Amino acid sequence: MSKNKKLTKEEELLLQDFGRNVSTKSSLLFYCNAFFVSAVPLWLFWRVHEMDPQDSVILFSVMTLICTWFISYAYKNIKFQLKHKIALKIEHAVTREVNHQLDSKPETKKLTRQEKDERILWKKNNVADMEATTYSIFYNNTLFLFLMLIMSFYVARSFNPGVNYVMSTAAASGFVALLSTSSSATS
Amino acid sequence: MSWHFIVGVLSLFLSFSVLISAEPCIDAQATSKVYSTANVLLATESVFLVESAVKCSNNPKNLFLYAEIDGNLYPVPKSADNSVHQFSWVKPHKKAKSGAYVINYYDEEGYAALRKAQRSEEKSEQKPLFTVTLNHKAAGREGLWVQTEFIAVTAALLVWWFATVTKNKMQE
Repeated sequence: MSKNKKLTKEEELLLQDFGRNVSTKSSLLFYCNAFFVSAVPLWLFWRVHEMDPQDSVILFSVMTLICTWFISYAYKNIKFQLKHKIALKIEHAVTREVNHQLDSKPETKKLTRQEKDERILWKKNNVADMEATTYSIFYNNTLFLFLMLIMSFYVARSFNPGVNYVMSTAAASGFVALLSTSSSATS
Repeated sequence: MSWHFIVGVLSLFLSFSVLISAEPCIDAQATSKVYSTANVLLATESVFLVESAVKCSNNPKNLFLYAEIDGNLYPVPKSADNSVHQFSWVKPHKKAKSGAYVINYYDEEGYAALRKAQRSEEKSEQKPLFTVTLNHKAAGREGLWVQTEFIAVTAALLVWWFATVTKNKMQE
C-alpha cells in the first residue's frame, strides 16, 4: 500500500462503506431519532412526576440536547459494529440475487466480472447499511427507555422531580453511549 | 352563702339561656352525602363522613344536632353559615368493618330524652329526627395488584431483552 499510494476504486468504496463515518443522510436520521427518543421522558416527567413544563423549559431543553448527542453517538457505534456482521451474513444471498438479476437481462449479462462484483458490493453495502441503521436505532432506543424508567421509578424516586429527571436521563443516555463503546472494543 | 347563691343564679341563668338558644327541629328533612375510605394505600386510617343539609319547618336559627351510633352520642359540628352539619370519625382499617352504619340524628330535645333514658337504663322511645345509613365497603387495594411502574419497567425490559437477543444473533 505504501508503494502504491493511490487507492483503487474498490478500496475507496470499501473505506467509504465500512468506515466509522456515516453519511449526512444517515447522520440526519440518527439525530432526528435521537431527538425524539430524548424527548419521550418529558412526557413522563410532565404528566407522571408532575413537573411544570414552563418552569423547567431550560432544564428540559438542555437535557434533551445532551441526551440527543449521547444517543446518536451510541447509534453510530452500534451501527458500525453491526454493519460488518450483517454484510458478512448476507454476502451469499446478495451475490446470488444480483447475479440472477444481471443474468436475466441480455444488456447486463455481458458485463465483466469486475463490474458484476462492484454491483454486488454496492448492493451488499446498501442492504447492510440499512439493516444496521434501523437495528441500531431500535436497540439503543429500547436500552435508553428501559434504563430511564428504572432510574426514574426506582433508583431516583426519592429525589425531587427535577433532580430525578437530570439523574435519570443523564445516567440512561450516558450508559447507552458507554455500552456502545465498550462492546465495540471487545468485538 | 352569698357565694353559693351567686353560683346558683348563674347556673340557672346559663341553663335557661341554653334552653332559649337551643331550638327544636320540627319535620326535619335531610339530604345527606356520605363518604368512607375505600383505598387502603391512600389513607392511614379509614375515615367516615356524613354531610347533611337539614331543613326544618320551623326554621330554627340555632340548630344543634347530636348523632347516635352504636348507642354512643356525639355532638355534630356545623358549617359557619349554618347550612350543613358534618359528622365524621376515623377508625383503624382493620377495625372499620364493612357493612351498613346507621346514624341517628337528634336535636337537643331528643338528645336530652335519650340521655335521660340511658341514665335510667330504660329503652328509649325517642324517635330520631332522621337517619342516615352509610354503607362501608372495607378499605382495600383498589385497582391493579401490581404497581403501574413495575408493569412499564417490565415491558421495557422485555423489549430490550428481545433486542439484545436479536443483536447477539446478528453478531454471532
